[in-house]
Amino acid sequence: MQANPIKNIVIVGGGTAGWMTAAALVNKLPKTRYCITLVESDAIGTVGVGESTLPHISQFNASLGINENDFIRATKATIKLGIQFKDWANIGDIYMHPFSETGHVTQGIDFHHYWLKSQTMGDTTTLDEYSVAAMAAKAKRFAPPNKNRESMLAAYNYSYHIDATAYAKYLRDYAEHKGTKRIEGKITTVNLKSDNGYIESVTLANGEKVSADLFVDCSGFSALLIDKSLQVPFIDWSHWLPTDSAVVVQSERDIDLNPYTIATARSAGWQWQIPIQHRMGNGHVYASQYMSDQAALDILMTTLPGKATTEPRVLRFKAGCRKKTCHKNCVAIGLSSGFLEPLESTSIFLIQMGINKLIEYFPDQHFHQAGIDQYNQSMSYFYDQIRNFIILHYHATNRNDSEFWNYCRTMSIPDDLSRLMTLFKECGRVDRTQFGIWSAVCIGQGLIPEQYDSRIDSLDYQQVKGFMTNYRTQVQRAVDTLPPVEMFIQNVMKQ
Amino acid sequence: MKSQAIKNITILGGGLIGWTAAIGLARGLQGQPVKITLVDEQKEIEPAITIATPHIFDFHKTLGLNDQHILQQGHAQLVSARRYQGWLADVPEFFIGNNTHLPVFKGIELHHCVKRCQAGDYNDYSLAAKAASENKIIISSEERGSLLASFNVGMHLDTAAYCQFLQGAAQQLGVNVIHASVADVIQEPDTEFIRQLKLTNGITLPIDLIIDNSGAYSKIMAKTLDIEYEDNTDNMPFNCIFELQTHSSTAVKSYSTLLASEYGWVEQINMPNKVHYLLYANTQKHDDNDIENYLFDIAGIKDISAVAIVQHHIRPGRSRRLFYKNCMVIGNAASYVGSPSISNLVMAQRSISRLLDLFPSRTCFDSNAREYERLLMNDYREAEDYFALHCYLASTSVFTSPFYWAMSRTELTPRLQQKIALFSGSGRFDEELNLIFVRQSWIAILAVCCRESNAYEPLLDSFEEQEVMNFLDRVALDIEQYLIKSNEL
Repeated sequence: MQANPIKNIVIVGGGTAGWMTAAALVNKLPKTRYCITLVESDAIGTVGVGESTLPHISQFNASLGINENDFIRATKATIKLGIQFKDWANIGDIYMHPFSETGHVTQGIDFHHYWLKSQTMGDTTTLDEYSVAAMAAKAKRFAPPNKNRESMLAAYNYSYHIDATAYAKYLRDYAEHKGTKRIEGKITTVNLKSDNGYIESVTLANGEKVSADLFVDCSGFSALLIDKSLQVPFIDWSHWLPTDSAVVVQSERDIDLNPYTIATARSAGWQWQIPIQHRMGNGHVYASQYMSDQAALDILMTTLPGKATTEPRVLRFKAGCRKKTCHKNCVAIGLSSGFLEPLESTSIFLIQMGINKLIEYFPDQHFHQAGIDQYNQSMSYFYDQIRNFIILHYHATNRNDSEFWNYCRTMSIPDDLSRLMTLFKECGRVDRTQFGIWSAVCIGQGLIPEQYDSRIDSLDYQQVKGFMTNYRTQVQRAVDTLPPVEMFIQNVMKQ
Repeated sequence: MKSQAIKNITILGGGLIGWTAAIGLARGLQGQPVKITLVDEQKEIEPAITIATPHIFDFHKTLGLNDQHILQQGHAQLVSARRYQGWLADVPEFFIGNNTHLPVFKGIELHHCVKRCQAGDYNDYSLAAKAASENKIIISSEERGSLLASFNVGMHLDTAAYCQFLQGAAQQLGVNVIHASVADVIQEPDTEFIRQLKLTNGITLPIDLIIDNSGAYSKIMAKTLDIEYEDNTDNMPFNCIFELQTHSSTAVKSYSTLLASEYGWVEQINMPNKVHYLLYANTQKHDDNDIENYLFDIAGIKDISAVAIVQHHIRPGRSRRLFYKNCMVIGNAASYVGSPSISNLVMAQRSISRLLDLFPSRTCFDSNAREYERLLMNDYREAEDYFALHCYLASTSVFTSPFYWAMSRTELTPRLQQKIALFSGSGRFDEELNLIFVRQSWIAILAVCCRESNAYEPLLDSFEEQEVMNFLDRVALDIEQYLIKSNEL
């Protein structure tokens, strides 16, 4: 046996991040050796956004042994096949970022090159028409992907729109049932060890001291441990992502169920519409430097898809990330580790990656620096990639109708992003290790490559046309066989 | 719009690397109206034997090449492991298998289990290594869950025969070969792109893309385009390979031996009726005659007039650009990363695959070239680190000769230092995408480098030691049964 295993783990904060962490750890670590405690206070609210998720969440649920239908019922989930972006490149433009590659790689060449070639021949179809996920989303149809890999219906993925508060509650039941100890209380002091500056314990308002070997900071924006106590600096990215506020409100869902999130660009930010079973989640993200709270609220309230059911509330944030998300015996997971706005629904994904990496590099009492470094490198890799991908949406645009868009269009961007944009712009190449479907988003944002892969020139006009028409027909036929998404949800709820 | 498609590709320089590129491109561009020409200058003499890592089978598979007949004709020998001799003060020899997917215990890798139970050496649980140590060859398969899927085989190839095989296949696919040298290189005035090669036989070749395989002092990249070749002599302990072959009736082996000696590393390869010795040495640190005498010695040659030693000079380093204007470099023109752990063959195979993924137009955008370089540089860095790990291991050996002194001064990159620290602290290895050396090759060598450490995955303590031990016993028993069933070579 190891000389120094960890015994006690304390998770500070019980929002989505806290309970996801608790559930994953209690599931992975044997009860006989590890004691997991979560400290939270009912008096402190949670942000509870992150209603729109990525397909990876099903892996997380599966690793916990959570049944999909139970999950859908508990979180009032609906299906998500992608995000529809409206008005981003130009007012009036619309495209889908689907949970699937668009078209198949053919003869070793990415599909969008065929589309580009076809466009030069006068074709006016959109890239969306070659994506099963995008077309199914538009047709409001859905069935889980076919397991037969040959099928057109195998090449897509899906995720959910959920009630994030209900998800946290569901995971809390799971974690408590499996032995996580929950302590109600507000933390007043964080006590550090005098010799090495590690966290020794936290003191609660009632005087109780809770000590542990490993602390997980899930305290949200307040970042009680990683910031207030260990003083790990925050890297500010607001010059690249100037939105710093959101006004959110729930409303009735009068419209049909869309199996996708809608992200509509506004003059100083963008607005989301997320349908869950019994309501809509709505929010308007904006840069307060360019728009007043009142103006932002007015835009939100006049464009609601149904009657508001809650009082609107304003959230403040700043884009950025901790210099280290793991430091000494503390790991920050969730908003305490950093913030990237919800444009690509990445907050739960980042929590999940934080948890995966924590398990992968799970420490012992030595807290080996190499393991900590590796954890931090991995997390900053995720953060950087997603950050760049989000900046892409703002920067690759023709919009010049507001000061905000003028700023975003002309701002300097991270070198890596600049490299990737030039690569796509000049020759339509994509770094496949990047987060997101770059071809769909770049083209949707009006970043059209100057050249397609010139090997396609060996095909003549009829061949390209035939290939494209055939592919489009196959996608359409496949989508036509799918039942309405409402039916899928109703069936799950009936069981 | 006028098509920007590339119509003329010239590969400058033949040999193993040139023909690998030719066949790779000819296959990858089949059906394209592209003319591929290989200009064979016949300058360099290559070692008679090439050590091909298991990647070669993947390369053949993607190209649809049938490698059966090269095996049948006795020009290739399958191997499943490498034997390290004289590397450690306390252990005379050990085997490292070409492991790919060793059995795991509840999601935790085998090497952690070995440490937890103090159950000997990691390589005792590798079928590939065990088979080799008993000189048995077991053919791997893809049968999931089976120990036969736990390793890959590599090949020792007769270089000339393999070249001929590639050449035949490439010519069948329409590759032209011209035996001549370059007389003049014509560039486009504004862009400096290479547009024509004038050859010594009077032929002028039009060029859209040129693949420069003209050796360490490359004709196009270095001499015409003026791109510097960065020397890495400080971090590469040898500058010369001394090659010797003997006829021998010694049986073939299912492994190669890498012997650490005072004068350098000796790669010993037993082929049917022949034994090859490749001594990696440094002629600035040791006298040529001493090196040669030593090589005769270990080959057991008394009458030195009967055999000849061939010297292959090496230029450790890397071209500053790998793809510049409309020229890309491969082989020694690109780099010498350091055999014996990796051969330029793998790098050439990777280069061609990357080129096909990012196949350029006549415009050869710099962004595209840089993306190619970025991907390939990851490969080079990994190869250099993997090689440096061997130096790190060797620097702990008993030898104190200048060769080893140089080795002990090899600077480890921060990336490699991190890998070593992580492994020695917890037995972990960070998973990277698309490694050249599979995860298990890294672990195998790290396990030797970090043999003093007893660290393992902390989560393994969640299970009873007996349960872990039972798992290891089962693996050992399985291996034994496979070995009983298999025949000696």
